[in-house]
Amino acid sequence: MRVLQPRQPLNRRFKVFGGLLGFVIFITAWKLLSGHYAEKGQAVLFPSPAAVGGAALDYFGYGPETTKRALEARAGATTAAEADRSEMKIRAKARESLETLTGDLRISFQRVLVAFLLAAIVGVPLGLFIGAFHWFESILQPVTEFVRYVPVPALIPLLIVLFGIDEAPKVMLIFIGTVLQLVLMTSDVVRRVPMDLLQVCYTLGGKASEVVSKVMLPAALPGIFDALRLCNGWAWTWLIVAELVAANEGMGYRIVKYQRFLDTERIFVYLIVLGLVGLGIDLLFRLVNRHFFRWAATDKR
Amino acid sequence: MNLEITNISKSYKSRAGDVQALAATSFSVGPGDFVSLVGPSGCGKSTMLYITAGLESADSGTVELSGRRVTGPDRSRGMVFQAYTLMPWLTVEQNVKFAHRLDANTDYHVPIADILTQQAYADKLIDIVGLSDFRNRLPRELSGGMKQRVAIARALANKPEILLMDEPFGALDAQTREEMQELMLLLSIYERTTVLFVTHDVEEALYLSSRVLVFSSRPGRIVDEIDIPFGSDRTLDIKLSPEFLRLKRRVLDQLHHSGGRALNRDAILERLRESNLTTQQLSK
Repeated sequence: MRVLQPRQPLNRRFKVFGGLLGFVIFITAWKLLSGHYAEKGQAVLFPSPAAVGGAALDYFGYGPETTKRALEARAGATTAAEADRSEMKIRAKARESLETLTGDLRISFQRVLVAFLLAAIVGVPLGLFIGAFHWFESILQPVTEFVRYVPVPALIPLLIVLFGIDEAPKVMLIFIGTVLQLVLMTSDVVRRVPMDLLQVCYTLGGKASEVVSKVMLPAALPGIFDALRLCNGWAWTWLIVAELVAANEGMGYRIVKYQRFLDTERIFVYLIVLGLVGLGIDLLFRLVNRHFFRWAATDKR
Repeated sequence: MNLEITNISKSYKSRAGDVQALAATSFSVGPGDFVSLVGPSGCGKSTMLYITAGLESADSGTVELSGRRVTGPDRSRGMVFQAYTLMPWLTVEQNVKFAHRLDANTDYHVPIADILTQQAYADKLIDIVGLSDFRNRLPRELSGGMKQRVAIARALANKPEILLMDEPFGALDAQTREEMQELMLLLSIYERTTVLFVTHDVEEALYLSSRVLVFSSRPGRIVDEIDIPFGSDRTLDIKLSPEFLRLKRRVLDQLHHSGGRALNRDAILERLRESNLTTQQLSK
């Protein structure tokens, strides 16, 4: 089997098949696990894929749970018009949870966006300077390395004391959690720009500042962009951490709330939404990267 | 234009102590000269070139270009490197005109007419090195030889007083290498370029140069200086002429004498015979 050899390229059909297979394995494993809980009569602790799918449909007012309640309401009604009205009411009520979801998503997205932009504005220039200038590196690198190993969640109490419980502490937590990673990754990329390119610039009459702005920065941009992509993943992680602790809306907050009501199906729906959002943003970054940095694309083999 | 190198020496620190790469070395390059430095690897010839460019500092001695003391790199000494050094995010044309992105060439004190002439000259150079069909391509789409042709055009487009070349064809295959040599020879003649060229390829040095300086192995110093008798109308065929071969013999002898080589024929034969004996003993 040639496919079994290292780095053997795969044709397109195989790739699609592989992707589907991965999902089939994932969902089967999920089903088995939930079946295990169901046998013990604890289906509510670990819902099956079908139950989660139903819960997701409920958000649009067409899930099995909503339909069941709608039918009950119809049975209790005396006239046909009243039956229709009460069914509409129940389905509309179910759709309200969708508004909650989009509201949670919006506020969470906003927090990530603000913190992420701040981290980029601060982190990328710092990383560029650390990667370009040894004197700058000697001052900042040790401190950065040290601070990086302070577990970010340990800062939450302090952030709440300093910034209250509004948006500020959440944004700050995400910012602190991502900016240091970004600084280190950016500086690494900048450091890897070949010395030859800098020397070419000097021998063509370039000044030191031009070597940084016209050689190191453009050469490092694709790598910096990749660092931003990875840090975006981190940002969402810290967001949930922040919202688990002190918030009254947002994805993390809602998950904790559903936990209190043992509404695991909805927790799963939120988890899937989070996964899809992350995937979407990642894809967007990749598309932009491929479009603007065609020159840096590496060949598959 | 006159390059004067006086008593340049350089040593590196290593764990085993200081290693002298270059003994005090002096030579000069006049206008229109094509001077090659040849020598075994590690003889300090590249170090010499980097010092001349101002990219490395010397322990002692001075480099003077047209009477000015060289203290750092600038546009008067263009350089072509052994590694491919095109900016990968720029097209061929943008690479050749890279100097125009720099303040040194676009500041208010440079008249627009000059900039336009430079741009036109850069276009002409792209044409001369045979890349006019590739001017909008990215470096990753080019072969090694093409990349080096762009690098040469880029250095020349900036009109340096002297062109420094550090084994520019070292990474190319033999055939491309000869094509590049022909191009370089004609460029140096027609563009009246002064060149200081570093190579370990003796044939290349003899074919291209008006003068060849032979370096000994570490610490590098000049052990021979050869004025090449061939005129500017030389072709690749002269590589087979008796005169050329005689000069080649002379340089090769110098190189073989100057370095204590661990890989000479007798030593290898000796080691081979030894291992042969042991395998015979083992098979018994």
